Amino acid sequence: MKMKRKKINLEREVTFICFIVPAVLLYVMYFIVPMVTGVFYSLTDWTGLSPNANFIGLENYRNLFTDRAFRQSLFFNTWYALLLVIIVLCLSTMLALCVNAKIKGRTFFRGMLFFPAVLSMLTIGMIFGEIYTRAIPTAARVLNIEFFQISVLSRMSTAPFGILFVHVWQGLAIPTVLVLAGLQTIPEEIIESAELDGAGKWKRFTHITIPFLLPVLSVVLILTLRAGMTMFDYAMVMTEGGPAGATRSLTMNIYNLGFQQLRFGYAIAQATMVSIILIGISFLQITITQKRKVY
Amino acid sequence: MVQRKSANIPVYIILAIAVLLISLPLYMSLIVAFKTPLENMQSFFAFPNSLYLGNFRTILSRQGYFRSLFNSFFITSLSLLGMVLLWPAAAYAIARKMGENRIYKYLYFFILLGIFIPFQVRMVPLVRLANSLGLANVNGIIVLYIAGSVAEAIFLYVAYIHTIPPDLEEAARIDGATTLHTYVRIMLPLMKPIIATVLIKDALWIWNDFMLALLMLNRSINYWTLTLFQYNFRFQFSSDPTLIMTSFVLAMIPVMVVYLFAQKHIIGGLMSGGIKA
Amino acid sequence: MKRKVIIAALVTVILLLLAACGNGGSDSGNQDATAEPVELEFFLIKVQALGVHEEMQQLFNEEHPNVTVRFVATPDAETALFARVAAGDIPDMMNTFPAELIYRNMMDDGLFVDLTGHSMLGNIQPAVLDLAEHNGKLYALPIALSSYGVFYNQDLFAEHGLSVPTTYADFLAVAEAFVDTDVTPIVFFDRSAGPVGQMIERVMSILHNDSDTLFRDIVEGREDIWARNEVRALAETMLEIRQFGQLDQMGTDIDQAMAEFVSGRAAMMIGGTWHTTFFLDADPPFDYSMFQFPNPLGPQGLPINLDTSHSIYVNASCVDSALAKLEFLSRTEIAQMYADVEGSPNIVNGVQFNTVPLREINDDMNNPSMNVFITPVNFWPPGMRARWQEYAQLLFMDRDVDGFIRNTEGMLHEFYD
Repeated sequence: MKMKRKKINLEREVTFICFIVPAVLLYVMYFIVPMVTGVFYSLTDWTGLSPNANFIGLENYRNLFTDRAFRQSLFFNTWYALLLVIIVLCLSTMLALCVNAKIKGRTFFRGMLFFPAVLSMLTIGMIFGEIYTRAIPTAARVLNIEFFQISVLSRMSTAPFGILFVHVWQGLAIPTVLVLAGLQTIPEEIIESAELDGAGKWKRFTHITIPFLLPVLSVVLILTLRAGMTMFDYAMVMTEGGPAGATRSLTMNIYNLGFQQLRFGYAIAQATMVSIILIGISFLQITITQKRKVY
Repeated sequence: MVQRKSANIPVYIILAIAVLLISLPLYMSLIVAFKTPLENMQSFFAFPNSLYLGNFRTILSRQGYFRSLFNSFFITSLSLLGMVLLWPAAAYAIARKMGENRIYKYLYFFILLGIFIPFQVRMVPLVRLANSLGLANVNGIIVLYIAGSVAEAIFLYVAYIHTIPPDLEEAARIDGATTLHTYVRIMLPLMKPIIATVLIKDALWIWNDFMLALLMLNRSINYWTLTLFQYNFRFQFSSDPTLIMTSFVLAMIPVMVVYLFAQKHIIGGLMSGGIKA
Repeated sequence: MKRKVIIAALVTVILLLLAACGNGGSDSGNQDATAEPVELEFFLIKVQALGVHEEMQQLFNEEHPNVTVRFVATPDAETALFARVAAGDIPDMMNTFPAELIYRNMMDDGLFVDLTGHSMLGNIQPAVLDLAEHNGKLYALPIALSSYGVFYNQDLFAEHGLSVPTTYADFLAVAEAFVDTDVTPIVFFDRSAGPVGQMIERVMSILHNDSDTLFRDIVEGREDIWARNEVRALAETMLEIRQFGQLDQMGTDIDQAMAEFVSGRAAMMIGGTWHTTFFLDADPPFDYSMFQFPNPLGPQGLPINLDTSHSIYVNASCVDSALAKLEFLSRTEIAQMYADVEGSPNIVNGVQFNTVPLREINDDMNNPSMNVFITPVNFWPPGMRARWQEYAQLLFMDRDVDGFIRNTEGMLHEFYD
């Protein structure tokens, strides 16, 4: 008996090692080697093009603390990501519950909710460019609402919200599908027995749905947080960081530094800083949810 | 029964609002494709006078369109195939061993790091590495896409596997099934919803990806994907938005079809798995 | 016809053999006419010229049947090129912009073949060659120039009995004539960061032809930005002309602005010769042309920049063949083909300029009494224009001229130190 168990374990170990080897190899190739090279460049004054670079230690990192453009972007991105996370978490859960309910036309609704995700960035830029600069102002003129007669993207105070709206509009689709997939892990028996016990809708939601969804919601939180902190495309196609830098995100800063200012080493130092912030928040979050997992 | 229906009214209201917000841009992007440039100039929002198909004809007859369409299909499907063969298995190993073996736990967190490293940090070193490994071509970019999906896939799969009780697998193990057998027969069916979700996410990423395709496939027009074709098209016909929108509409149809097919697997995966066991 | 078939067959054979003349064999000094097959990769940034490049290559192959040139024309071409240069995977030949700092950095790194003294340069206007020099050497063959000014709808001007303004006051008067009509006098595109940066930079250089020196003097304390009137004049001019713009200027991007001009709903648009490609494609049903942006402070000057130029990578697979290709591109009849399609003012001797909307500005550029100078942005610290554009957008919104000067002063100290 003891012998047999040991043999099975060995088989299990070997199979599992075979399972993870490709992941480790490709991961190291695609992420670790370039990242380590990148971090090495962040300790130099490399221009990004030249074959030579000088080692300057931590100077790039020291410069971060006095860089106003970096601080401005960090501030913008932080609250942008925060709002994005809150909105996406709430709306995606709500929508997933809606299309998981036994309603007519479920397939149609699921298809519709997913549609924004298939649009490419160029399409988004063109369509919302027209909506913000023509559709809304025209409607506002008819309805005589003065505030919206000028594009939301034209004011420093409203432009970030204009971008956030589009980001939510498109970024909601995948989280909704994820939560929907998460809802499938809740065994029907549990819900049915809770129903028989007379548990109300809200009670079922907080005592069954949420605990079961917690791992998925944690995933959505982290992916959305990352999407918010590294937002690039949406601002690029709609405002190019304007007006007057009001929507200039961290990654746009990094891109400009690398490809316009020829300060590639410094650009990577900024990017490394952003990763460190993200990793810090996320690991805190993962440890918290892992303690609460259902199984 | 009557009660149930009235309970669904808020659901319909929410969904109606969502559909309304989604369909205006949808209407706009579809409608522009059927307009002549002149009609579009007069009003971006009005319905076209007749269904003008000249835009579709112009794009489909462009040199290189079908080549890039084929490349996109080829690259996307082979990448997805690789992803579905490799990552659920790796995630299964990590998820089930994390609790008993520290190395797997560290490995998990090590791989998660990849999610947070912005592409800009890795971009130039990656181009350099890919060049030296001879990956700057269609086959090479498939390897890169598969590699690029690993961190997020493991993250999503492991979180999902943690919600599946290990009872079934243990029962199978006691019956003497091999680990591979257990994985294929029990775990994979249970993971169907999340696999379908992750594949959709990755399909969208690869299908619409511009930067990596530009960096890896710029050497020859024969390597181009549909996205490169579109960006190029957009540049060449910047004065004609109807043509550009038409090329977008054409490009999003395949992904939409894939989604409609895949969503069947997202819903009801666990239930069917439960029945089998 | 038969000849073409033979050429095609030869090209196929060459493609099949695909052996390069690299491996040091290129120093032998032999003519390549009968030498082994060569393949060169030519990276285009001026991608709209791909078609004409392929036509020119067919003619080139009649002389050099062994030299195959593979053109690469991608969207976002400059990013792709920079990434390849950074990765050390450099094309044999490429478009460069030799006046721009990023390319001068590459020259310093020794990436390009030195063309100084090569016979092909005799076919290029000598004044322009001086502009393309870097440390007394020439690493690029310049073919075309760009300039900046005001596009105007000639039909609308005729309808209102207006003539081309030559002074800033005239310019304002012309714009005034369209106020209270259903035509926007000048259409702006303040949502597009790049074009806004170009506008303030070019107008600044019209106000002061050597802004780089002025900025250095300010930073080093020899000049006072508050005592000098150029930056203030820039801010005031920018605000003054915007009174003649559409309602929501900050909400409009460059594509929308160009569409407004092409549709005849705007009488003027400030822009560069490179925007002509869009107008030529759109082919509006009216005549249009371009005049110089008049200097609000006095004497007129016309800022230009080097446009299409070609360079050869030092370690190209076959430098001799690449040089032969460049020499071919510098010939009058070949450059004529290029100019007719690409449309920018050409600087190869003997080329006729056939881009009708740019004739006026081209004549100004070739006018010996005109003060034509290279736009000083090429000497500004990299990235400064992008920052200045943000302050300009701020100015357009809060209309605070003093604030703009203050921001500019801070920016100069940050970038020049």
